Amino acid sequence: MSTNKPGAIVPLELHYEIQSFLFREARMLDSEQFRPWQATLTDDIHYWLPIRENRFRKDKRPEPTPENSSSVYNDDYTDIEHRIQRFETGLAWIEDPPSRIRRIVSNVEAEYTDNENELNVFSNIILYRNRRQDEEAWFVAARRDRLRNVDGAWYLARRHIVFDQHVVLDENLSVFM
Amino acid sequence: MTKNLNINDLVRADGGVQDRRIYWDEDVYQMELERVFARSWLFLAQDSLIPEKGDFLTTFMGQDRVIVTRGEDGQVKAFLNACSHRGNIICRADSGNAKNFVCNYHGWAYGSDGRVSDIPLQDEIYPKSFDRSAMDLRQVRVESYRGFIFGTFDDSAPSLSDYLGEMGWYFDTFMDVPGGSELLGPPTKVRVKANWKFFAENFVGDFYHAGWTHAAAIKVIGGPLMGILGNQATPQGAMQFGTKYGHGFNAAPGTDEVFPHIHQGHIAEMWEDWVRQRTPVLKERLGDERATLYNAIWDGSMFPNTSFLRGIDTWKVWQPRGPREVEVWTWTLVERDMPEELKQGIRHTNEKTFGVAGILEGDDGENMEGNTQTAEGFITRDQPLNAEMGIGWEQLDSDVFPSMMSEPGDNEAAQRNFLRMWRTMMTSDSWDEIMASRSKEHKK
Ligand code: FES
Ligand SMILES: [Fe+2]
Repeated sequence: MSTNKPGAIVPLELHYEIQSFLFREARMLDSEQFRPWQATLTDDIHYWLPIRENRFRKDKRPEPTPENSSSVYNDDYTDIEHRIQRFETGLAWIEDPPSRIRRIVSNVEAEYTDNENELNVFSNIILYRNRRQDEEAWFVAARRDRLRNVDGAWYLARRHIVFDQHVVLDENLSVFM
Repeated sequence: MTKNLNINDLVRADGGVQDRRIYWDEDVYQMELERVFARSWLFLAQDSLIPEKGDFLTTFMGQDRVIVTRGEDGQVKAFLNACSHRGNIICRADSGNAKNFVCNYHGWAYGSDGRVSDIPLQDEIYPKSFDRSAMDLRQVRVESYRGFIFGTFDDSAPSLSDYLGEMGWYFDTFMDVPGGSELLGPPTKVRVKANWKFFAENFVGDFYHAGWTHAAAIKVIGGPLMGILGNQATPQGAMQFGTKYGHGFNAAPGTDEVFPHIHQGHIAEMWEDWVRQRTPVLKERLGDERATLYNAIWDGSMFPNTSFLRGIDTWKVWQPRGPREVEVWTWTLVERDMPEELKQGIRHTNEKTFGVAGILEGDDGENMEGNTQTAEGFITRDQPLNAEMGIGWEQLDSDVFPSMMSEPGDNEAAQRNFLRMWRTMMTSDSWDEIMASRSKEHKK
């Protein structure tokens, strides 16, 4: 594998494997299988959804980072664990009765990196959330993932979510994307 | 249908009972924009958000768009973000650095002081009599309190420091620490289909909901907070305060052992060290009472629509978007002299708990939406709302703490005080009237 140039597209079979990883992940989250989903994360996961301020194109300030800007998610493994625990307490009233959530994942690309065990994976996601009687939200984002192969299995090591709303247009963004 | 509403009929004089229309009705809302938002001191910015000459940000005062700038002279100015020509929005960026602002429609330019600096072709196409200076943007009256910048459209309003009154004394607990405090931005923003007052009231004095609404998050956070899990009373010694112009807060002194559980690992230790080393300094500087508050969890609101939560260090503005929608803006509150790592840790805690996907904040939004939306029912709208918890137990100026105080912490005294201020503003024609009425109530 070490001969594969960083940035080169992975071959069909590997692409299929990666795409299946993303689809399976979406299905697990849609059906609230948070623990199996968590098992596909590396211990050093960084799960980041920064806000996207409106800035003029000529603005020379550096790109947002978790340190110089604000985030909706800037989670490590422990933070994700807490979010799952909160859900599992059975005391999270706003998820009872549960929301109906569906994730549509597309535009998948997987590229080699300079680490032979890791791939950069790009995808787009549409998340539909329907709550209570008639509350609807559509969330659209791009995801820049880093997947790591450990002993033949793939794990999510980094997810940077490029979220396409500045003002979040529904109550909260308490959903994994 | 609801024209000619008599505001005095909508909130009982003691603030304890409200007509649901004050959280629902379009006419009430339009009156609020005029009588509350256009006459109060509203939060605009913090020095740290526009530190350099030419720095600007755009925000709202009620539903009026404004640009806040730091001019070449270092002074902060604010003016309407709406072109004097045909009305277009002038600046579409949320923040940045600019010498002037050029309208996209016909290219009129305004300086960082809000004055017209260029009208293309003016000499050729406008009469000699054209009054260019009348095209300057409407200025906002701007004043600062310890680096926190506020604005009002009303020249007859009291000074910011009078408007804050005793709340300034309390703010000093975190604003007057050596080096002062600052906000980390930019703000996160989220729309909730609820009336803005429900949020402001929740922060001004609703300890009562914390253990129940946030049961799930409290269970995860663990530690001493577990004491309020479910419907348990707030800790002994918890109190509620209301000041003359409607501001107020809840505080639970002696809750410092909660902090390490809210923050994580290394940051929790840094936070504890920081508080331990700061407390004697503050005792010296501000006295025992505020050193105690420095170690407490407390949440409050500054009338009408700014709130904070000390201990999680969130700073919020409830930007109204009509009677049934609000845009929640959230910054992180930190002390300027804290080490960078601690500041970032606090930012992280704030985002995780009170951000757009916050494990605590997420619980509140739906309650506020429900509070608001049930009023769509014709019969429901006629059923009054109640805030009589602890009524009659208020006392003015206890031995140590200024302003109106009430015990225990589970109380709606601060909400009633907030609503009485609201009622006074809505029914008074002038600030003289407002001041007279509020002074009478809060007379020592
Ligand atoms: S509307 Fe702004 S220049 Fe004409
Ligand atoms: Fe709450």
